[in-house]
Amino acid sequence: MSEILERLYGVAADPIPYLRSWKAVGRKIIGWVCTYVPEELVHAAGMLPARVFGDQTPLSLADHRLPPFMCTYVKEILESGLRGDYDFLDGIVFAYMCDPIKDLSDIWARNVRPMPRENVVVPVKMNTAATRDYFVGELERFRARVEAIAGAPITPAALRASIDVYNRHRAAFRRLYALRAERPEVVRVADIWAILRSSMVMPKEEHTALLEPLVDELAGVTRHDGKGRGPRLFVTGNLCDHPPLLGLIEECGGVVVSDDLCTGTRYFDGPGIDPDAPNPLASIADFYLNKPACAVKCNYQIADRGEFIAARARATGADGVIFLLVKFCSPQNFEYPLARDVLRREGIPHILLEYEWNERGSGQMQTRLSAFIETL
Amino acid sequence: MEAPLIRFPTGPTVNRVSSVGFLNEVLIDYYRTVMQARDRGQLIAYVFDGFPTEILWAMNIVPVFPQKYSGMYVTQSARPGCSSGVDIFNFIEGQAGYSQDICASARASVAMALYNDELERFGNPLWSMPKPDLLISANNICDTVAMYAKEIVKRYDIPAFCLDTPYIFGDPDPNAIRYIVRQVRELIEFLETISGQRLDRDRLVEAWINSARATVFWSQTLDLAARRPSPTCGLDITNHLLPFIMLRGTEGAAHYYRTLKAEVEERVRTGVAALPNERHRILWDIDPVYHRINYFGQRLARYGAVVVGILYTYVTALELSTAPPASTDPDEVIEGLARVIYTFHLNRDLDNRLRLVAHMVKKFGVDAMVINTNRGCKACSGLLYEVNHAVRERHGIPVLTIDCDVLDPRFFSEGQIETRVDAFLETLD
Repeated sequence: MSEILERLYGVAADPIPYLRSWKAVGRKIIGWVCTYVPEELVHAAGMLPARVFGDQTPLSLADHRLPPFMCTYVKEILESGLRGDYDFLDGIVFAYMCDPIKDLSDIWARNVRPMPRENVVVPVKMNTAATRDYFVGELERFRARVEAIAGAPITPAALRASIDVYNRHRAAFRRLYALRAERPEVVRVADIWAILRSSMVMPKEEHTALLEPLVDELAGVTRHDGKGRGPRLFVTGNLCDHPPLLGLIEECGGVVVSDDLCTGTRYFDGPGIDPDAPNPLASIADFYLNKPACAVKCNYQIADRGEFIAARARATGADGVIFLLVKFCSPQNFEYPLARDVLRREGIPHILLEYEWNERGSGQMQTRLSAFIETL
Repeated sequence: MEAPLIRFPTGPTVNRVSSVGFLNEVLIDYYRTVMQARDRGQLIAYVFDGFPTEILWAMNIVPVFPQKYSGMYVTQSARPGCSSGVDIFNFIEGQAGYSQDICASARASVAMALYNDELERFGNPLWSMPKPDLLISANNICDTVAMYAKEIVKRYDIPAFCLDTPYIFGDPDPNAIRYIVRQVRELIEFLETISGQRLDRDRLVEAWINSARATVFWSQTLDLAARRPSPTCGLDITNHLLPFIMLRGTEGAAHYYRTLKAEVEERVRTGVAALPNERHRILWDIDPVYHRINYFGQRLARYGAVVVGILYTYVTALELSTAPPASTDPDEVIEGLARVIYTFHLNRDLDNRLRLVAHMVKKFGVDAMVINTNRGCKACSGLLYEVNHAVRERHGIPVLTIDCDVLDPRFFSEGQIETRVDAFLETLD
């Protein structure tokens, strides 16, 4: 394994000690939940934005705070908070997204060690001038809160610089995914996991400095072991952060060529942000309003996610689509019947797999996956 | 067209209000309006709980609530020749691919909206739901509405408007209010374009005044449950929410709630109680179990317990409480409407919810609470464990938590619920 990858695997495997080491040298760390949190503003205030992960431990504390029918992803985040894993944070930011995340925000605020808590109330519809004006206003409010936590104002120069950092990082990711679609045999799912997960906690400039040469390095690799040559698959769903589960796809003979996940393209894909725009916040707002949308978003007037998924699957040359959903996710479950019908119409084979955040892939899932991949 | 009577739950022990006969008249009248709409050249708009019907009635557009139709379908299904209220769910999961983990009201609403003809096979117990000409969703009750509305819009290929209502953490945000005011104006333009007629601003003002009157009567009616003994059982009074949701803004709704209030006042005056031997007063969070309203009313009555407040019912009456007083200025009316949509209690955070519960505990002299976590409802039920902890700590009253889907009878285990409810009520005595 390349040295760079090894480094990223190290951070991804154990992000909390990594973050604590930043804390030890005096960096303020702001946790975030949901990829709609505008990290650029936290970065521009000189703080380190870091995704709060739930791990896969058995639930005990969170079960007393959330009913059984809430998704295990939200519960695992709460579990880690209640256990004190994130007590070192200088603040936490939730993006108002689905109902469970807004519940999580309030339950966190009442039960986890007191820390500044912010909510970015992202609009539900994304495509009108009124929405944009509202969201720019919301970002202005958020900026003031971030400045208060940082104890210093965000200067225009700092914001410009942060936008550049994020643009460059996202561009590096798009190159990585282009390579993945073209030559999936050199970009395995476990590598993608390590790269993405580390990127969510490391300072972006540092991560970019590793990611850019890594993409070059991977592009130069040739594989002769015959692996990575099976049916090409596109994975869509809410999010999946488990190498064993994603690895199951490869074990069953498939190759993942791209995805539509919050732990995937939905983290970095979207239009570039203009750092020299008269109002950079409006430019940041445009990125979040126009990035590939979460299923919870409601745009009656534009193409739905089914068509988006079909188009992406076609563009990346996928032979089939896997809907991989954390159980009890209402937005994805509502989206599924519509998206499924679009894929049927387009003649794209697909399968639905549901899992719990704290499970590692069952025998049944393996059987279904194998059967699906064999038919391709 | 002959519209069947709705059979509202009744019980030998719970003394329900007699306005229920009038309720049937009002609802059947509404149903006739809906079924004659097309012949009269009126448009039919699908809308959802929490949406202000004032604008629609003022524009002569007829609102139809898939949530209410499907709720009645399920609760009325126990008739001869009809399914047991289970078929609709089996059907939508098998046919349309919906997961049983999502909101039952959403599943049943989509079934009613898209597969009405197929449902007739099971023997529709009540009303057919006409197809929509347009759809409007507001997310002030939950995000779920906007999500399943997408499917209805897509399949019918109809014009749709999403009224986006940012969630309120802490205090209302002026930026969000501006956003909603702007959207209400856009909504009016949207409706004018589709209907080809201008909004009559005088009619909007008239609808707003009707609405304010209905709200005052409705909230005063609910408040009378603070009397001892309570003149009404909250589970029974929940039936009377229907005109408030579907007909608000009409003169009929205002008249209805004036009548209802008069009846309940008369009960107070003459000493009629919902439960003559009332010993315990229960607060219920959040919805009643709609397919077992009668069951719970009677079960509690055996122990002298009466439900004096239901959170879901109560918040509807508070809807207008933050709005400016009835105004005759159309622009103020639009702002008032925006504010009502935005500050609806289900669109607000946990602190607000706990303040509301504290208010109800005190106002209604509550000595026990029942919390029902509704499996499909992530929006309202996700916070209920927190409510449970907070109520015990702050108010020192006992809390019973039960898990019943409020609409899907497959997620209701009578034996288990009975044991828990009985054990809880025994400890109160």
